[in-house]
Amino acid sequence: MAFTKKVTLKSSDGELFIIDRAVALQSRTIQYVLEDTNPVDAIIPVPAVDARTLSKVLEYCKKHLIDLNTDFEDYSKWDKDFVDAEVWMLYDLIMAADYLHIPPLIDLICDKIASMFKGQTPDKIREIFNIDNDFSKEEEEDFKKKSGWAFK
Amino acid sequence: MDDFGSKLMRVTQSENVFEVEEILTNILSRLPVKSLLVCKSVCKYWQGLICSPSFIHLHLIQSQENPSYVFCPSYVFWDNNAHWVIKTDGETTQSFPVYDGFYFRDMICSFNGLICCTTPRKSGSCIIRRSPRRGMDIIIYNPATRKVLSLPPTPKTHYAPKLGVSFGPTIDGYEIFQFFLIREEQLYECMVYSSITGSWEFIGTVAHAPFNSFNHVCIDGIVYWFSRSRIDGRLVGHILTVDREEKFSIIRIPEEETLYPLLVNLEGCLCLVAENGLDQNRFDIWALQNSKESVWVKKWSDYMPSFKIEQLQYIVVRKNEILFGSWKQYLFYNMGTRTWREFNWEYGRENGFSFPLAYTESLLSCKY
Repeated sequence: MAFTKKVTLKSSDGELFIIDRAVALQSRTIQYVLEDTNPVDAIIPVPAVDARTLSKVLEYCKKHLIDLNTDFEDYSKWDKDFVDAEVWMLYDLIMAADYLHIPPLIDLICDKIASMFKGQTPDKIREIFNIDNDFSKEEEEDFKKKSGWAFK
Repeated sequence: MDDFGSKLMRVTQSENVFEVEEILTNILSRLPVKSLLVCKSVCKYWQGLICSPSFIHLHLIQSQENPSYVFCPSYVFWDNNAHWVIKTDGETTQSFPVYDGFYFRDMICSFNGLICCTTPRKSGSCIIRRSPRRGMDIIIYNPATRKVLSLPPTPKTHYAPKLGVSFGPTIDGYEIFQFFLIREEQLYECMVYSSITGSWEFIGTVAHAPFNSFNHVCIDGIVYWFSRSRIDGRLVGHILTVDREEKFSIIRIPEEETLYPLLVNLEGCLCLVAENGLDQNRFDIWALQNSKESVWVKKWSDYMPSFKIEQLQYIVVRKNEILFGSWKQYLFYNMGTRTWREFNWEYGRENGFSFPLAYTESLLSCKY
């Protein structure tokens, strides 16, 4: 069967991305669509992801295409720089990676966010990630009494 | 275009990434227990997720990918009153303070992030190292959450009871077996503590007992101890085993005169590490193939540098690495490369440490 070599993705805000099929196939969601419907020269809409996030995701997919000239060390450095981003960007990226189903990208961002929780206080975590505190003063005191040692 | 377009319409437009349970679970399951105790007090949603049994199980499975070793001091540090357990992966070392007032004489078993320890029963007088048995208490300790559970006391005996822990791959409770010698009859009485009922129960007498509490292994809820018996005036070694229905049986070992084999769990299979009959500087690993028929297969054999197997005090398996320990030395054996390396642990040369156990931290409650 002849496969089209290029695939066109359309972001939620209408921007078109013409990419190699191999790059797109790293997304299991896109892979599923391509295998199922085998569209020829069609535009695949990606309604959950905006252009800014999609271009970043595709940058990751292009880099991670199996490249024999790139060894593991290179990837880990590149990956580290890739996720050295603002919190809102990480949010958008992980939602996109989840939606497009790209497991190594999900892993990468989850690791990054997890590392941001380490060694922080609950207050700091709420501040960085914009989370409301719905505990009462008494409940907070109780936490400090029970596992206050972990907060240091 | 509508055909495949509709497949992509499952749009999860959430305001907050952390409201997507799957993503939050994925992130949190990567964290050590200490960080999770902090995350638990971020908000109620996070607290509910971290305390859920499914999360605790998932976290344990993740944590099992990175096992380490734990040691505890085998004497009391009177000077600074610091009683701790030390965790090390051979590279980095971390110490956990022990709950106030507890002193662990021995660590019996490490399972699912919990450590079963014994401590001399408090009798008003001070605790003396290896004091005459005045009764002992059994403690379940989670070093990562610093939680301790004292099991209900059992009868005092002249001889130290032998212990063993039964636990499964799922987190639906554990059992602790305890054997007491009835001297007149040369029989052993067996008591079992169930974490589900929270109490001890006598289950009857058995003709054989574990040789000691340390040389035992639990695989899928079945416990195996090394045991020795005098049969027709001859001292023989064998395996005492108890299944999930609390039925005891005996498994013969390849060479019955082997009195110092060490039991290990290699990839879910009971194995014996024993001296090679012909060459003292060689060790053999025998794998149990059929427990009913006592069929063993020699799985491995290699040279041992530095010491003879009879000097071995313990063996701990962590992935494909085996830690061989004598009182003098710790050596790692890599099964993948068949190479040895010395464990240059900062405390390694002091003799005041217990046998190590393989350990993976978890959030499990001591009463799970």
